[in-house]
Amino acid sequence: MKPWFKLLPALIPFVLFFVGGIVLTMIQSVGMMNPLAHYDSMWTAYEFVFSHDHFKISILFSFYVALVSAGMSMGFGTFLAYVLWHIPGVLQNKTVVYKIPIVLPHIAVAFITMIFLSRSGIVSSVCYKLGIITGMEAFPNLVFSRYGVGEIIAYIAKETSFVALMAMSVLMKFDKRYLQTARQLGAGEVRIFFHVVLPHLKEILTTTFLILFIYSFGAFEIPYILGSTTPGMLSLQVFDYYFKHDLSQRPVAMALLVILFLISSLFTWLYFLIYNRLESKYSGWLEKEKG
Amino acid sequence: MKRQVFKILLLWLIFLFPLLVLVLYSFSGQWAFPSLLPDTFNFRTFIYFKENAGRILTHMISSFFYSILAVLFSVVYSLMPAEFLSRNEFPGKKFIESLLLAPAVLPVMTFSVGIHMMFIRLGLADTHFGVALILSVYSYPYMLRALISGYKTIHPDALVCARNLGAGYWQILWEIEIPMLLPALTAGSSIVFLVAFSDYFLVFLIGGGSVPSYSGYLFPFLNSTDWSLASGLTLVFVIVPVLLFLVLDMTVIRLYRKWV
Repeated sequence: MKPWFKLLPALIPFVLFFVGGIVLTMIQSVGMMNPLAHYDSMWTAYEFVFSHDHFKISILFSFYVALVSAGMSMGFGTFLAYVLWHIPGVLQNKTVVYKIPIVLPHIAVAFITMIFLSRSGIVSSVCYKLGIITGMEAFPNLVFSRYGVGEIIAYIAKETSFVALMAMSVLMKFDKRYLQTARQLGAGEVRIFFHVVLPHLKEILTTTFLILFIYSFGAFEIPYILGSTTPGMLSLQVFDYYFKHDLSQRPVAMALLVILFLISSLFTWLYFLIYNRLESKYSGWLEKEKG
Repeated sequence: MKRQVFKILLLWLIFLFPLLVLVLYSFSGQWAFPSLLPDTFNFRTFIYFKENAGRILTHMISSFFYSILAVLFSVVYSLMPAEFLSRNEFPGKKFIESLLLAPAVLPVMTFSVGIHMMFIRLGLADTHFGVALILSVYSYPYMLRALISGYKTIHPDALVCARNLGAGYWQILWEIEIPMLLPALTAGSSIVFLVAFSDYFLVFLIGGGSVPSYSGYLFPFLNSTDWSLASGLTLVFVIVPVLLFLVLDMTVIRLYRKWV
């Protein structure tokens, strides 16, 4: 008999607050627990969401920002890891500075992005000095942009280092003799990267991508500082309907959260599917010994 | 070798440049478009810090308080389950492990906004306890994952050996398990602390302005036009995690490498 009770310390808060919170969101989305929502049917909030195009646009916009920012972070992060990996061991501990963005709070990254990208910011000033633009007005509106440029760049600034850290964890175990063999067989640097190194990074990069995608899809802080409200990301719409409209509108915020939950759950499920496979591949001695 | 040194210098330049800009902004009096450097320098930010030291300190201490409380909660949630999950094999283990780790992956809004009303009814909203509780619910998976791999470094034979030599449950826990778990505990604690300390949304939602937090103090400045003051306050905000990270990187992780 296994001591199953040992799972309880984590199961209790998990069920009570996490599952409980999601169930409460669902209950409130159908108009219950709300003294002011007098709906004809349970699904009124959902009908409202699906009959207004700006919600659909918000969902698609969140999807787009998450996809582009996570995708580009993957590219930059893998490149950074590849560069770091080629730095010889004695100098390796001098590269620690690349981890700074990982520990920076999101709101700090958002503010730094604003300083760099706004019309009176650093990039704009440099462009003016270089003669690329003739005045402040000529610089594109990157912060609060309709295309989510500010959010995307802030996420890339924050996440590139995280991708590099994850990729490095696998690269450190990678036998460099593979590279020498490939080189002796006549493979060029580009070919080595795509055909020798990248296949080993496939799983860690997929799981990292999913983590970043889910995060950017549902996070609030960076869009709140850098995003425009039309089209706002899904999280901004939730905030808007929860805090800025009256109580009778709350089921709409809850319905949006249920949609956010369902979409993120799908990707979370995919994440754990791949993560668990990765885990058994790189497991410690304990599992290996057992068989 | 020269090329490698150049690469490292470039790396430092890229990653420290944004922080350098924050430092410049903190000392700038006026910095208007299109100047590449501040037009005038002054110590306005310092004077502000000096005049508001009490309020800044209150918010900082409050943030530390609920973050440390969240760390403690996460240790309580994770210690026993981590031991169980690392020492037992059973069908559906991966599933349970994934479920328990899920709160760190799913967007925090999905559970926190729904539970907000319940927290108000239970009197947990607007309290440090409530804030720490909600922060721990989505940050404990980092502790759980760290402790699971921590427990895996303890060879079962070491425990059998200790038992044969006559050690009891508490002695094993205190003299073998805790010391061997220390690196994992430190790693898990620092991540949970960082996540809790950096958070803005949950503290805003559950704390509702009654629980002072540094992130909440800083936030209005970020949306203002006073970039020098915002930069100074952001630097203070950033110093905490960066220092924590550097200290950890230089001490515990190096110690751990020596042990294994």
